[in-house]
Amino acid sequence: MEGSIVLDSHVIETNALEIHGVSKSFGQNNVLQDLNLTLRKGEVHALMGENGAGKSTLIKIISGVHKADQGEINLNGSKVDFHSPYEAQIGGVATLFQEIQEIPDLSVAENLYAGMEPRKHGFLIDWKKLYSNAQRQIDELGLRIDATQKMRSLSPSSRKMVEIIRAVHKRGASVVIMDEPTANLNQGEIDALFSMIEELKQKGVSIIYISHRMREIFQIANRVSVLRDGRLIRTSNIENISEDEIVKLMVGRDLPALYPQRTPPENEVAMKVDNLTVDGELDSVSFEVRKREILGIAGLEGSGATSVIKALFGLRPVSGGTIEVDGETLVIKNPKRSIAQGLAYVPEDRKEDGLFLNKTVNFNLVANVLKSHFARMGFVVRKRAAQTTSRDVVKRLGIKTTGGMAKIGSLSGGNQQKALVGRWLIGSYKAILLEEPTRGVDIGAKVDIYEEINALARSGLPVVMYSSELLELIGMCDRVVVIRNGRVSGILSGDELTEENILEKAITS
Amino acid sequence: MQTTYPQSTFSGLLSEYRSEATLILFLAVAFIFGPLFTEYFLTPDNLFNLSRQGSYLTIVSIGMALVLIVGGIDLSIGAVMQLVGLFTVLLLGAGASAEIAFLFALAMGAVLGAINGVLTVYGRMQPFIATLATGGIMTGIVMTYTQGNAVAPRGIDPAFREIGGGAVAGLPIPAAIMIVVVLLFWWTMTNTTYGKNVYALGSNKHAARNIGLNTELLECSVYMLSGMLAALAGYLTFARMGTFQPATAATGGTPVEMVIMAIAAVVLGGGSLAGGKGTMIGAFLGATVSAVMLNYLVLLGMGIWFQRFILALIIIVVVLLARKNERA
Repeated sequence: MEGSIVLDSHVIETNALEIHGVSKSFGQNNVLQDLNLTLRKGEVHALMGENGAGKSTLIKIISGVHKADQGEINLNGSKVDFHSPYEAQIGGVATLFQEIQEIPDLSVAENLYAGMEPRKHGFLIDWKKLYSNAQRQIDELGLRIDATQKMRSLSPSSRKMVEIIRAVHKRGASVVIMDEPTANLNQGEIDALFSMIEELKQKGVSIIYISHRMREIFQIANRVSVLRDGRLIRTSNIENISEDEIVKLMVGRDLPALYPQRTPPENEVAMKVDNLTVDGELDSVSFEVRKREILGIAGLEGSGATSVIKALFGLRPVSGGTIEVDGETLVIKNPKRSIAQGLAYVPEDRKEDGLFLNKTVNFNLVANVLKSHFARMGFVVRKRAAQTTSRDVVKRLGIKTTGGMAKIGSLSGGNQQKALVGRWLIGSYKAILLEEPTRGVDIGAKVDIYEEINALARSGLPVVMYSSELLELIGMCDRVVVIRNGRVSGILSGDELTEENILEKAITS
Repeated sequence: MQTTYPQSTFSGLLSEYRSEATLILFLAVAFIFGPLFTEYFLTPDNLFNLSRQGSYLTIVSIGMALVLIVGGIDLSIGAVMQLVGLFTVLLLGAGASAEIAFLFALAMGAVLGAINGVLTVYGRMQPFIATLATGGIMTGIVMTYTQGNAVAPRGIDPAFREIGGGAVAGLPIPAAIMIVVVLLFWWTMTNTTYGKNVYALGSNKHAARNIGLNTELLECSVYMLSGMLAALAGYLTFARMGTFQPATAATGGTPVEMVIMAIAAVVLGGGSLAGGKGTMIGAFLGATVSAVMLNYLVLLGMGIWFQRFILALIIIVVVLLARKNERA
C-alpha cells in the first residue's frame, strides 16, 4: 500500500476535552475571558477558584446549560456545540450538579435506571431485574442503601450517592463533571465516591472535579487548574503545587492564615448543657461552654450531632435536660423564645432555613432585629437607620454586592453566607450557635467568616459550632464534643484535637 | 473589595415595579383611547359609578394580596361578603344603627377569617381546601336561610344606604373608604415591622421562624385581615342596595367569581400564587384595571359572558408579558 496513508496506525492520544478561547459575559459582567483548558483522557482535573471566579459558568457551558459567546469546545477530538444538558449527556458529558435532582417518590432503583429500565417483552419493565441490578450495584460500592426504598426516605447524603451512581455509571459518559460532590457526604461515602472515581479513571473516563476541600483535591486529582476573575491563572500537575500556592493563586493576594489567632477562653462557664435529650436523636448530652470559648460539635451523619444545636435553639422536641446561660435556666420552646433569651443561630442550610432569597441584602441583614432595633413604638420601621446599619455590616464583612437593595439571591454563596452570619452582629446576644458556618464557601469568604466568629468569641461570648469539616473544627475550636449514637463519646481539646482522634471517637463503639 | 450602594435610578425602580408600571401604562392607554369608542366613558357619571364598582373588588384584592404574599389563598372571600352582608342586614332590621352594624361586620369578618387561619395554620389544612370548605359552609348558610330570596327588612337606619350610595368630596363613599384602605395597607406593608414580617414569612417560612418570628400567629393574622376586608366589601356592597340579595351573576357576580376576580387582580399586579411576591399598590392597580375593563365592555354593550371571556384573555396576556420580562 505504498503512497497511501494508513489512518489506523496514526492514532493520536487525543485529549478528552479541549476548551479554546471561551468567553462569556452576562450583561456588563465578563464571567469568562478567553479561557483555555484541556482535560486529558482518564485524569481527574480539579477546578479551583473562589465563588464568582467562573467555575460554575464554565461547567454550565460545557454541559450545555449556557452558550459561550466566543470560543470552541472539542470533545474527543471533534467540535461540539451542546444546546441543552440533555444533548450534552447524549454526547458523553455527564454533569453532577450541586443540587440533588432525583425524583423523591420513586424508588432508588427507579431513579438509578430512569429512562433505561431493563425491559421484558419489549415494553414492560422487568422489575425483578431492575431491583436486583440496582441492589448489586449499590452493594458493590459497599453502601448500605435498599434499592426498593423511596428516595424521599433516604438521608441527604445517601440521596447524593444515588445521584452520583446514576450520573457516573449510567450514561456511558467520557467526561464527568462533579460540582462539590462531597458537600454533605460522610467519610464512608466519600471513600465510596473516590473508589468510583478510581474505577472511572481506569476506564479512561475524565473527570472535572470542583471542590473547596483542599485535602480532597490532593487526594484525588492528577492536575489542578485555578481560575480567578474568569481567567485561567495556572494549570499544574498536583505534585508540582502546594496547598498554599493554590490558595494564593485563587485569591490573588497573600492570604493571612486560614484560621484566626485565638485568645484563650476564660475559666468562667457561660453555658451549661445538662442531659439534653431528644427522643430518638439525643440521649443525655452534657457539656459546658466557657466565656470566649468556641466549642465544636462533631459526629457522622445519623449520629445526632446535627440535632444538638437545633435542640438548643428550640427546633427539636426536647424531652429532657436543662440549658443554662449565664446562670439562668432557659425555656426551650421555639426559636422566638430562644432568641429572646439571648441565643443567636446560623442554620446549616442557608437557602432553605436562613435567607429570604427574593428579598434585598438590607432586608436580610436586619429582618431579625427590626422590632428590637429599628422600630418606633415597636411598629414603625426606621428605614434610614436600618439601611445605615446594614451598610455597616456589608462593609465590615466585605460582602460583595451591587448595593443594599440587590436581591440577596443574586449574590455568590460566600457573600450570602457572610450575610447569614452578619445578621447576628447587630443585636447583642448571650451565646452563638452555628451550623456549618462556611458550607460551600470559597476560601476568601471562609477567612472572613472565621474572623467574625473569632471576634464574637473574643467579645466574651460562648460559641457552639457544628461542622462536618473536621479541619475547620480543629482550626477554630478550643474543644470538640464528639457525638455518637446520640451520646457524647468524647470531648477533645489541645493536642488530642486531631482528625484521627475525632474520627475514632465518632466511629468506634 | 469594592462595594457600591443603592442607586435608586429610574430604570432600577422600573424593573422592580414592572407589573405596576405595565398596569399604569395600560390605564393611561385606556383613558386616552377609551373615549374614542364610547363618549360616555369619561363622563363624571360613569367615573363616579366606575370608582364605586371598583372599590369592592379593590378592597377584597388587598386581602387576597396579603394571603397570596404568605403563600396561601383565600377562596372564602366571596362567601364572607355574603354571610356578613346577610347578618348585617338582619342586625339593621333589628334596629341597630349603621355604625354598630359596621363594627359588627368587621368583627364578624375577623372571626370568619381567623377560622380560616386556625384551620390552615394550626389544623395544618391546605389553605385551598380549608377556605373552599368554609366558603361552602357560609354560602350554604346564606342560601338555606334566604332560600335564594332577598332579605329586605323595613325601617333600617337610612345612614346605611347613604354609606353605600352617597358621596364625600365628590367621591362615592365606598371609593373614599377604598382609598383609605389602600393607603393604610400600603403604608403598613412598606413601613411597619408587621409588613416586613409578612414579607419575610412569604419569602421563606423556615427562615422567618429561625429569626424569631411567630410565624403561626403572623399567618393567622393575614387570614383574619382578609376576612375583615371581605366583610368590609360585603357591607359596602349591600349598603348600596339597602337590602340583602343572595349573590348571582345578575347581582354582580357569584362568590366564586369574586374570588377569581380578586386573584386575577393580585396576579395582574405582580403577585404570585407561589407566594412571596406582591404589593398593595399592585393589587390596587390590578383591581382597577379589571374594573375599568369591565366597565368599558359594558359601555360597548357586550354581554356579561363575553365580558368574562375578554377579561380572562387579558389576564393571560398580561401575566405572560410579565413573566417574559421577568426572565429577560
